[in-house]
Amino acid sequence: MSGFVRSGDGVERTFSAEEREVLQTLCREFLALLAAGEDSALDRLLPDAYPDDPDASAEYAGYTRIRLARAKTEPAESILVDLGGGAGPTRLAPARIELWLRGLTDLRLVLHERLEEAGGRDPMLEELSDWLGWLLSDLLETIEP
Amino acid sequence: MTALRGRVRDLEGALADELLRRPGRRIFAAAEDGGVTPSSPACARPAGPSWCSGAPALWMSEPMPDTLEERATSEELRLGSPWVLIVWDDPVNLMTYVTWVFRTYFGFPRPEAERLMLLVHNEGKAVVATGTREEMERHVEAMHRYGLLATLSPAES
Repeated sequence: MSGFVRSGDGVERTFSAEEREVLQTLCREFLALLAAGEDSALDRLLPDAYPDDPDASAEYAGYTRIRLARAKTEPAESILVDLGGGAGPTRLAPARIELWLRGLTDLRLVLHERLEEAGGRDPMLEELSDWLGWLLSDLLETIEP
Repeated sequence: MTALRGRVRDLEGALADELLRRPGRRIFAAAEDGGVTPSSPACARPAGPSWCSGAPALWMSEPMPDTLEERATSEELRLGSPWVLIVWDDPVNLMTYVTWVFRTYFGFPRPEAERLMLLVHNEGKAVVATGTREEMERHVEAMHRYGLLATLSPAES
């Protein structure tokens, strides 16, 4: 396994079976978290817009939070679909790349929240976040013109 | 923000194994596992009026012309639109990712996107756009879709 490479007008990477399973599990848990609707991690995914005006912030949240939460399902679902192709290279068409970038970012955000809750002490979560960060930076480097 | 040095990384089998076989636990425990606080009450409110906005540009699409900034300035002068979009630093997002968001969504040329990203990184926050309150709300929502921290404020505050 190594990084992403360009493939046609898209990119591809070969994920190991373990990597695929971990990433799929994370995406499923992320979608469950969004569906549950009540979680401290959601506050980071759906932040306040008006820092000094709680009324304006609440009003803004009223008409954006549900829409944004729905929008957040698309990247994780896309990663699941793209990884579902079985063994062999996972190929990302151009339109999927932004979804992966956003999805990997969202997973890292939630992992960070969990790490904070765990008092910053979970070497496995840290290493996992590290790996996702590497995937993200590698994908960005691969698409740079 | 963080910067990761490029190095080949594969999620090692042992780590993956450990993560997946943790007894009784998922990788990041969800709310019902206890110990997490509920999110704010605002999330329970019904959705309001629909909002129309162009989707963020994909990396393959044409970048927006730099007339965006010209347009914003003349709009400002015409309407006195006094709102700003502020993007805030955070400990998770990659510098390269933030730069990519600025290029992709706003259409900034790379040097400008990097300049703004570094402002956010070094100063803790930066004004990234100005315009009407409605425009800034649109941008805030887009930034949140990308996982960035963003707020809007009156320009003078």
